[in-house]
Amino acid sequence: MKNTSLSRKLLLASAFVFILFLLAAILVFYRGQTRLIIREMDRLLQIESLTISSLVNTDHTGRLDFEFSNQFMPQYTNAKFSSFFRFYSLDQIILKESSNSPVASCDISQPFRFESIDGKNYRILSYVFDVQPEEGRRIPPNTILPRLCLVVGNDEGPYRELVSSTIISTLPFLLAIFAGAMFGLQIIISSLTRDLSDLTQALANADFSSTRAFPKLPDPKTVEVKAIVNKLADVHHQATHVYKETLLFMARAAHQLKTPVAAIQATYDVLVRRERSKEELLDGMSDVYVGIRQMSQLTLKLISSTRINFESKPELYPLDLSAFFESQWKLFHFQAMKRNIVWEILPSGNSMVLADEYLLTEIFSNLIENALIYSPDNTKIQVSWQKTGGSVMVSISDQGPGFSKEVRDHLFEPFYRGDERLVGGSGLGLSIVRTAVMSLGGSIALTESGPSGSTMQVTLKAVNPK
Amino acid sequence: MRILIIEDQNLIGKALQKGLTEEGYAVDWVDNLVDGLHLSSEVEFDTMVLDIMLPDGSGLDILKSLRTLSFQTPVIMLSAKDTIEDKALAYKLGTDDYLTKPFIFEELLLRIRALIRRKYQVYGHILEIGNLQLDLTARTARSSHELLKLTAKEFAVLELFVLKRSKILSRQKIAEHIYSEANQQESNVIDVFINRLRRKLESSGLDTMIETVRGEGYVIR
Repeated sequence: MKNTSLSRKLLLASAFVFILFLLAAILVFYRGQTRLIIREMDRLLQIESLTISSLVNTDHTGRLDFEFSNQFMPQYTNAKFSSFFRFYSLDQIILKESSNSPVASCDISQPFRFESIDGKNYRILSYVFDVQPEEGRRIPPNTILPRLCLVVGNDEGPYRELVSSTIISTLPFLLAIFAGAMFGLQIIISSLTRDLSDLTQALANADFSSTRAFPKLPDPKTVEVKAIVNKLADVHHQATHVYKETLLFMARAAHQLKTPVAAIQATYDVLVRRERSKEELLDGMSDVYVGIRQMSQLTLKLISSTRINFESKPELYPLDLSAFFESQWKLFHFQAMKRNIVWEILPSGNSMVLADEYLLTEIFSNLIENALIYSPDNTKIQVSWQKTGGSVMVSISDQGPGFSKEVRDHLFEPFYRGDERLVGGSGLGLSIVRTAVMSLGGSIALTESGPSGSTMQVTLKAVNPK
Repeated sequence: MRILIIEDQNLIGKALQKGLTEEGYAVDWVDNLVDGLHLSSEVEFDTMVLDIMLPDGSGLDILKSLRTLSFQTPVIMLSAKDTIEDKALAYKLGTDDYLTKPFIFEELLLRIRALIRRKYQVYGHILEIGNLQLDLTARTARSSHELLKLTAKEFAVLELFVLKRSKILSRQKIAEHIYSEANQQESNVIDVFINRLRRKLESSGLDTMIETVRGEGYVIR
């Protein structure tokens, strides 16, 4: 049953239920018929017992007189339903019996009974009656009329056969009904599952390669199937989106690499065109080195970006922000000093956050680098944090020129090159920051951006959420 | 020959300026749109090398405004943008050539020379005048199969005379042609320069080729 189609499964299940139903119907019919037959047999037995008992009377002395004609006995014996009778006196002496009578006793406590004798099932009636005098005959008063027990029995076999043959004769009709029902069911089921089978068919022939438009699928009327189609379209849309984003990322990364490659190549090409003095060679080599450094910085960013995107959910542990920023700043200290940019940690109280040091470094080294790029000389970069509820909000502010509205909208997109004047780095920094922040279960926003400076706010998890 | 490079990438600009200068061109290099527009409207360049992504806009904007103002200067785009759509747009806006980064310097040089030849409607690479032969590709001058020892600048001036044959070239025109904006010289420097060139042509009997037109300049007829 594992790999059967839905309509086939439904059909088999309904056939099973239908057969059960038919069997139940037959059973009920059989039981009903049996009951009717028993009642009919009992009625016959009563009539027979009355008839037979009426053939017994007494003479004027009260003696018993059995008036059975000579024809009656064989006729009775040859009856279609093998029947018998027996007369007992009340002291259980057999007075008269039909020739085929089995040994059936008189049981007054149980007038009707079934009894199996000599391999046959009999329905037996024990009928007790007072023998009446012959009609028109007077008997002396106070004569005690004899009381007899008449046992009449009928073989139930032929009746049973009748029931069975009735049922057997209706079987072809039942089979026809069954076949008709199955045919009807199949039509109903296939119409009910048409949406699904159409969809399956369409899907089997559909081309889902991500560069193509979503294939045309049937428009189902069944709500559930429609939901499947809609979800499929949704999933396809998202997959295509991710694929395109990835392609775009790769194209942009390659594009970014072109510039330093072009620079290195141009410098080299010009350098080797003729004999060079030592000074010229050194100058050219230092240019090539600058190009190589740009490339290696970009490559490192690309590696971080890929690594961060592939990193599974990191395990978070408590980190001290004060200590973290102190060690981070050391990396930028020299660069900042040359331009007289001051670093300031504002007093901010409890400084423990739940984070991962690698990711935290990715976040703040990029943010500090950006702040330094955009800070004019002789300004300051401030960092502060504040715990609210379960989170700690860390703010980094610079006194740079701020971002235009257009740039702000795309700030965290990889390689976004909106306002070229502002782009100092690889174009990947802020997208790395955003991914890292999200991995830490936090968020990031540019909360302030004006001519007097910008503030980036990073929300991280606090150690004791209270 | 005067070439304008508009390229914001420092290393590329520097290498191009050096390389093209060494080939005898007078090269101006600016790294932004505004300076590029300004310079291209001031000086008649023989070729412009134009980057697309500039810090203050698109190089295509310069191209567009040049062509709108009917400037005929040959333009070669030099860009990292390499899709057919990018190229189609640039050609639609009137570029003459398109080279994608990274590029080989030699190829850029060959394309620039081809553009300049086309500008002066020269279809081979050998120019002949009397028994003087100029090979525009090899940048060499011969007289009766004897190689003349000319500097790149001297060749450039000779080339200009030959290309603009019978036209009187003013001292300023010559100066503009061989000196970039940063190295512009007084007009008497041009006189000294022409005299030196005449002396080099003397051995081949070509010293009378360059005529002085009093009060106007020089001409090769």
